[in-house]
Amino acid sequence: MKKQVLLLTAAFALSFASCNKEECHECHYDKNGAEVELGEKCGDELESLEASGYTDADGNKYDVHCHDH
Amino acid sequence: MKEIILFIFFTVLYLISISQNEIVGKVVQKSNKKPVAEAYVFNLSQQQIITTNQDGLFKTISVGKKLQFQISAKNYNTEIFEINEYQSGDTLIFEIEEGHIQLDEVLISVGSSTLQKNAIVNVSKRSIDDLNVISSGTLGEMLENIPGVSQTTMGFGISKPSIRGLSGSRIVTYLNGLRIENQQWGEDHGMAVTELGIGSVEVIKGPASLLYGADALGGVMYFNDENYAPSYQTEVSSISRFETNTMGYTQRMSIKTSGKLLRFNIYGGIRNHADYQMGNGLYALNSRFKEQSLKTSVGFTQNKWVVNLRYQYNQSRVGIPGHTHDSIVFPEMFMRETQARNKTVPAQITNNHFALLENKFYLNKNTIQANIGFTSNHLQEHEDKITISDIDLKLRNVFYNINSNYEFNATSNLIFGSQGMHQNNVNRPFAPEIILPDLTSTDFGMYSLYTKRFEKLVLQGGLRYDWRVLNVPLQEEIDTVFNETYQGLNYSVGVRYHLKKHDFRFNVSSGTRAPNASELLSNGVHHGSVRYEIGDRSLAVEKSLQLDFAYTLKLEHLEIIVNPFYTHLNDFKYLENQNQFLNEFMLFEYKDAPEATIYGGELALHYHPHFAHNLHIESNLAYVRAYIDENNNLPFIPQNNINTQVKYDLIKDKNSNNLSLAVQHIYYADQIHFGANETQTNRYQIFNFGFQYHKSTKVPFTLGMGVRNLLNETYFNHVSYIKNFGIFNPGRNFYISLKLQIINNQNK
Repeated sequence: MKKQVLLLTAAFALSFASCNKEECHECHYDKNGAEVELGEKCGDELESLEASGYTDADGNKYDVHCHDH
Repeated sequence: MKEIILFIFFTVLYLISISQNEIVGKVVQKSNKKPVAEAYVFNLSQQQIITTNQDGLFKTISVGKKLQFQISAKNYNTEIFEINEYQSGDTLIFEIEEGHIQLDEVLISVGSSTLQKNAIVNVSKRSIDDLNVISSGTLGEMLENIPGVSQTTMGFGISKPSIRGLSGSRIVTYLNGLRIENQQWGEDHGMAVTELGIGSVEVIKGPASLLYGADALGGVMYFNDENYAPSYQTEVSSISRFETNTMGYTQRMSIKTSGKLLRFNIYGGIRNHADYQMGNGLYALNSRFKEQSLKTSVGFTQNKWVVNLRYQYNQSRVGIPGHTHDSIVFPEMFMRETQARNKTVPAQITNNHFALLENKFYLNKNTIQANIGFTSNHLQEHEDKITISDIDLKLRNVFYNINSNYEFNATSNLIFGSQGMHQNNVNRPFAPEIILPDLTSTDFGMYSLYTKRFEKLVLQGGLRYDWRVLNVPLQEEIDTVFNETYQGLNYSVGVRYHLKKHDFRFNVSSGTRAPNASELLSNGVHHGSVRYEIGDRSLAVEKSLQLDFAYTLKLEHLEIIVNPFYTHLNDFKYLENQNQFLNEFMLFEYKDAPEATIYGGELALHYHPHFAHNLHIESNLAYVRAYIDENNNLPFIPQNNINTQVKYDLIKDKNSNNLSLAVQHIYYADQIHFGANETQTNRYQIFNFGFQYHKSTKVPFTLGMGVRNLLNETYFNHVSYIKNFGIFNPGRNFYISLKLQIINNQNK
């Protein structure tokens, strides 16, 4: 009984754990009516880009989207 | 304060110190008085399950004067016994008959554990197993098998119950004794209760304000948790399910264990679905969803005191299909040729915590129930950003319900109590959009319900007073403080007459519902419903009066229920389309309709022919007609429908091995009485098929396979919120499920 319970619990815990991998998304910003791809961004970098936007070499700031809308 | 604490302490101490009565019972077969071994005896007041030994004997504890036992055994009818007096030292004899039907049900939702045959209010009680013969992917889909109940949907992941055409704030949901609050005013805010660990559901149709408070204008959905494991038994279960339509999987696990006085359950579950496929082969964009839940409960009995502590947490991320900012909309915008499940926006993330402490004290003639609960609903709606929410609302609710059920004698009782809650709704500081301001709401209610039982007649009447105060402090989005008090006085009278195989019930009940904060104070974009909504501070209290008649004919092999109703509403709240745009969204304003009428009924038939014991035929018809006046119908009224299910047991042996097949046909009629912003919905029919195989081995298992929407019908349901975008309901869906159990019985 104890072995069977442990086995089932472990299988369940594993299925929960497998869902918790880091999240990544393709991001872009719109410039002059065209999408400029920024590539795949993950975790903190993704969060920071969405919050603060993207600033290009000329110092222009753009709102970043990381989803297919 | 000190005196109160001391009083409570000594009262509890007194109750604990009272000596307990041990009860000895024996279960025998009615025809030959032979003992029935391994029968399940459910001591309802204690919530304890005991199994009989080889001599049919069992022992349990009495916590009150009145005893209720539900007894079931393999190849015997399930019966309920009520014992009003018990002398210590007696052996109670329970005679059960060979058969395979449930003779009665115990209802929890009607104030105390009441036999269905003694209830005045017409309550539909169904077990989740019963509703799930052809397995359903969601709880909402299961509930549609109850006559008069439908589900308003927004894709596959968002659904909420509708009772006789009313839903949202007009339906109150209870999980055990806890009132669930989850911003239910929003049509995209789905039901917060998941099927994890749910054993049965009771549905009260029509105003049920008396015991459940203002707001229960359309009815009550009362979910009961699964029972604890039988005493001295440990059960470990695993349920896995896979569906082809959404490539969706569900995995659940539970551990239940019970001793003599202490009981414990724990459940965990995950669910993940990609976009669903419609009958036309395309996928509904962003209809994906995922969810994880955890649930636990611990129960304890000490003499006259039964206590349960329950907690549930669930988290979900649900895509919102049918989302656009464009003024010109065409269905292809919301459909894709490929299926996806990755995170995208718009999406809704909810985190719910539900906690409840249930106490029951069984005194001499009095049963005191004291429930204290807490709910927390954190709702985030992401419009443009994956990691940053636009709407971020946290709703906390503290709830109590205290009542006394006093038995004057064996034929009359009075329930008297008080119920209240305090809500706090807060927008997170960084949320860029505010649809509801920060607010607090306090409810207080007092109620009483008297029941008198004669030999064939039961009479019941009750009164309730409710008081609600809503406070909205000055804040950035609010130009003036809002401080309003709403009151309501409600009544209910009912009669039940039982004549051999005929049963008649008639009820008159009133209900009131104070306008909710959304109806009063909304002023913003609600991305979930793709609207700009504006509330009205002058809205009045909504009132309702329902007449409900039910006739039941119960023959040995046939049961027929006819249940017509008529409801009249005053100051009915609805959203009116202003036919203009505000901030790129269609503008809707909340309005009061002076009057509204809803009438209709349900007809149900259950045939179980004598010549074919393995065959069950169930059919029910639900009809609803709802209008404001002769030119204006109420919106989101379900299509009239006929739901027929035929079940046949191919194998049913004495060892509980079972193989059953079920076919279901649901016909939905044209909805020609549509609301101002709706279009007609055409008739359609759905065929479902499933089989279930249960094998009782050392590790008992149940295998289920089947298909929903077998003919891959491409259809709209009238109560789908994305119908107007041209998004169809789900197409064909094959499923496979497997339940495994490990049982350790320390009695053996």
